[in-house]
Amino acid sequence: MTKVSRNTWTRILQDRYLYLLGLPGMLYFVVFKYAPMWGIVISFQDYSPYTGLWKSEWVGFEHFVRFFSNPDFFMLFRNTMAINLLNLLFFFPAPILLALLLNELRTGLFKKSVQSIIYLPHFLSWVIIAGISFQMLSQTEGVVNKLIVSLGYPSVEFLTNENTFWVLLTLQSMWKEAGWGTIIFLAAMASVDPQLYEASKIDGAGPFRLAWHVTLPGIRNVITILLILRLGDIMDVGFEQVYLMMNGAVSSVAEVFDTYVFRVGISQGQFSYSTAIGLFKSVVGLILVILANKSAKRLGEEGVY
Amino acid sequence: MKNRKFFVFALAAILLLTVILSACSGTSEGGSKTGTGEGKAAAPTKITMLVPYFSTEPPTDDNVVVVEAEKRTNTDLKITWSPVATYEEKVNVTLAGGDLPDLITVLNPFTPQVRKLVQQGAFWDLTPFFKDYPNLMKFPEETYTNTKMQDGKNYGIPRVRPTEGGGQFPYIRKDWLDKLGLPVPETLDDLYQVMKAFANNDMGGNGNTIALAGPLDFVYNVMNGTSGWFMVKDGQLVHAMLEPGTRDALVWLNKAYKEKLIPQDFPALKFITARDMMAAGKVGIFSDTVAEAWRTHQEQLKVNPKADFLPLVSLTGPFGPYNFRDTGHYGMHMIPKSVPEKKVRAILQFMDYGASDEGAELGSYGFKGIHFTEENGMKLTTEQAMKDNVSQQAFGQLFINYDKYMRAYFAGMPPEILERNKQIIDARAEISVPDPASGLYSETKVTVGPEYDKKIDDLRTKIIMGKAPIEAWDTFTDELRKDPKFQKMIQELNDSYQKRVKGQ
Amino acid sequence: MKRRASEKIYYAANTCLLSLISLITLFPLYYVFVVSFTEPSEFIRGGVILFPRTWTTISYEYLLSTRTFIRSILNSGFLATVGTLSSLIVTSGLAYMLSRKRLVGRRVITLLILLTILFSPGMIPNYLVVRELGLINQIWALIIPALSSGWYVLLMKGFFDSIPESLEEAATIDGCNDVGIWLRIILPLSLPAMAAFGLFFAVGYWNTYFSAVLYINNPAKWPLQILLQNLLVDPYMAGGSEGAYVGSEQLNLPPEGLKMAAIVMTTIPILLVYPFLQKHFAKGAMVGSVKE
Repeated sequence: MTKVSRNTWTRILQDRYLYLLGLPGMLYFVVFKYAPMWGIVISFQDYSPYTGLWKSEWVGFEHFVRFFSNPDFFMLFRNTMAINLLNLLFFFPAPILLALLLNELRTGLFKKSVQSIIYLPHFLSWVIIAGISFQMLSQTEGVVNKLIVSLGYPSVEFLTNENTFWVLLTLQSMWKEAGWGTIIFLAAMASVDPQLYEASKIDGAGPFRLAWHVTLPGIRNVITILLILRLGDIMDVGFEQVYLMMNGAVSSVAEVFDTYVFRVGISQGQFSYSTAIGLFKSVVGLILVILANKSAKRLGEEGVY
Repeated sequence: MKNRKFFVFALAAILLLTVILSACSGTSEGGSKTGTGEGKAAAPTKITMLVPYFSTEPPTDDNVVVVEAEKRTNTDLKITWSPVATYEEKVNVTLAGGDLPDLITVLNPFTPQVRKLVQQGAFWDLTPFFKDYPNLMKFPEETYTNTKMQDGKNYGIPRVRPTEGGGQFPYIRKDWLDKLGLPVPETLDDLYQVMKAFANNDMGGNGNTIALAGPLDFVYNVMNGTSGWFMVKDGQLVHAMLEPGTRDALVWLNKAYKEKLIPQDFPALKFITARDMMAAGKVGIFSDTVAEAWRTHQEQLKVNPKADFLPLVSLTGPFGPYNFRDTGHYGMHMIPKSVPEKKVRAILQFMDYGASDEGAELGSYGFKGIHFTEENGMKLTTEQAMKDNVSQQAFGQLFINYDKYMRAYFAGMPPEILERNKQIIDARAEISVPDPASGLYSETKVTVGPEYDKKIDDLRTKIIMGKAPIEAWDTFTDELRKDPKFQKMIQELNDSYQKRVKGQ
Repeated sequence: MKRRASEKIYYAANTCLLSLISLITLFPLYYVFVVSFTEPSEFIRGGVILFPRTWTTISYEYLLSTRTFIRSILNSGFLATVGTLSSLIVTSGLAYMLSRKRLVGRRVITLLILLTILFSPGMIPNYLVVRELGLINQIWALIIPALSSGWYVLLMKGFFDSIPESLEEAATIDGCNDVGIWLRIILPLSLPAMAAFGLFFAVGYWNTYFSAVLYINNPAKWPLQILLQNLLVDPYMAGGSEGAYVGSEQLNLPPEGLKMAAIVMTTIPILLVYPFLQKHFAKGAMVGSVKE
């Protein structure tokens, strides 16, 4: 035992500069991420900001019981999952595909302009995007519906249709963030060794094969990490977007955990209830991340940890 | 070599950071506790405050109005202005932080949060103080009644507002009525006929005139003869959504929807977008306050000089003529218990000045001749007012007096419109109906209320759009009648209501 | 020969597709741009305006005339530059440390950082920490608590993971310690990644809004987004749990043109920074420096 630990100490001592390098970052995480973690405890309390943590009453699992016994729980769960799965299927790969396409272009004015343009929507807030969506899609004012009507067809309810609401959200997210998402993948592609391309080209590989056999494996690591981290957010749906697009006609498919927390918890000053729901979401996320990381390791990937 | 230099630099940066951090925590604590300015008659009283602002930018400490207010009241104001959009969060973290300002503005006194704080004794009961402040006493009785907490006491200085003109009630294209030779509608049936005439004659002139847009709550209110979701029946408070009036309103609205008199995607139509459509002359009837009616009117006048937007006095339903009666307040200013009594007096003195005619004029309009001019009793704001950030949305949030006609007036309004609005407000005062449940307390409502509200609202939308039959409403309300939680909520609210009726 | 033709078709199709995507992206943005130059009265007449009859800069003039605009743009600029540099140093140091497989405790630390992504304690505890450190009302309150995040650390670690340890060994023989290796080899090698993360951090600091509302009481220290959000937020949806209360207040309704001008004005500075970072995304930056 002592031998092992001495060995460990020697190794730590050897890497002292490495630890020093990470020290500011570790300090940051201790102070700003772990020091406030006590806040999670209030999900077992009846917390009020004025009374504070120490004097608030303990209620055990009351908030969790209330949450799980809510008749709408299943609806919230289903909507959250559906929106997230659609996002995983279509929105997650979109920036990868886009980055592959961009990567094929030789550096030039066209590539630079396309890149700059597709980043732009990221800077528009959801309020503006919701407004623009309305200008385009509404039945009263929308450009698209005006066009449809002028062609002699009846107007289409894009914004108040339960059946297409999830698709609408996914398309909006793609429009807003797919371009911005390419940044990280382009950066990863820039690190792929050009000699690999040369070698494959000599072997007679076309652009598709190059993308499949060289580029994608080169950025596999980054994709895996992003995917695993994304799974951790499986219970989160971009609150602002859903909140702004939701209306009475679609709320049975639009209501998700985040909008519920806002309406029932935050706006009513129920800090403990909101935190309890947050804790539930985190635990689900944690389980998924652990499972995903295990699978990734089994497939020979580096994984997240 | 280079790397060692860098390492030293990094270490120095970390050290510096810690030094900054520790140094600052000392200074800020010392700073907040100095200079309460008590005892010395000459020294200005220092008052710290947390106040929301509705303007684009907050007034700064050197704002002319702030400086003048300090001079006139012998105070030293330290006001933290916070944008209204995130104001509640700001209040919450301030409460959690513990160092409370001397005065906190609360926009909704009846959130569970505020109620709890009052119960815990966090704020001064100001009821016994008010009588010493003549200008605060000029606020109407109703304003004080409606800001009482569950124990019947006043824990804040009300942000006084008039009772008339504030509700979202229909205003109508009077010029369209005249063109069609129709009278101003007086009942819901009249209104329906007008809506049909507007749509059938395509008064907007673009092929799809929308007869009615904006909030639809007035239909329920007229049908039930009450404001909001509760009504008083035989002396008892009952949930208006279970009453036959609500069902009638749904049938009325569903018919209007089917005949395309209201926007086909009205649930997705944001208030502000609908408002813009009204201003653009595509909509015939819209619901908003009396003053706001002028805002859209004014915008339409730029393209159509004959346009006339007339706020309706009332609409008559089964319970007689109806209009909305406001609560007479928009939140209140509360003083934490940590403030000594002497200073409470000083703050009240300060707010009392703000409630005087002179103080209120300063707060909302600034200096005569510089920020506004006066022409036959109308105040016209100048460019300088905008430059100096002088407006009701800025310091007017603190200094305001009771003005019955506040909601008749809008900057730049011609005198004849103001006169007409004043008459409308006087006529409304005769018949207006308040929300009987405003300020009532129910523990159950805090936890389950928002969920019921949402369900009711969603089903109403679906029925109006024809996505669910009206029978679904009957089944739903039957369930609610049997739902113990729902009934408990109504019971608690009724108890609270009875207490208020007797306690007054 | 045959393959060349198919490749040509491929590149042509690719160009067409990307042009189409750009167009779809650009149209609503063009709309934002045009509305920001449209007379308010023309906008009121309604419909989507493709080309305003009269161009006006009235909205921009108003923005520039506000007392806070210039000062808050400077504040945001300070946040974006100082914040981004500090974030890059702190985050890359930690990420590099975690990417070295030999490190004792590496897995535990990584896992602890992962947990911070999943579990967040919420607004009030964060506020109390910032308050205890005495940062309230200081511009550092907008930088230090936002220096890093688990997401960035883990992702950056992913980039460093792919750098072979053999490079290090060579440098160690040359007499460099780990800090020196990080500075002289790792960072230059990861220039594309650093450019990408720099952009993320810069945009994050540029968009600082909510923490500024909570932590900074003095409007002189506010960043640009507070002014912007005040123009953009729908006043009928904000401010309190009971909408009726807000509905009865006379509100400040900025014209649509002003909102759009505010968006254009806040987006442009970031766009100006972009070309400087863009060149680092170019292919082969890494190998070029390895060969030296």
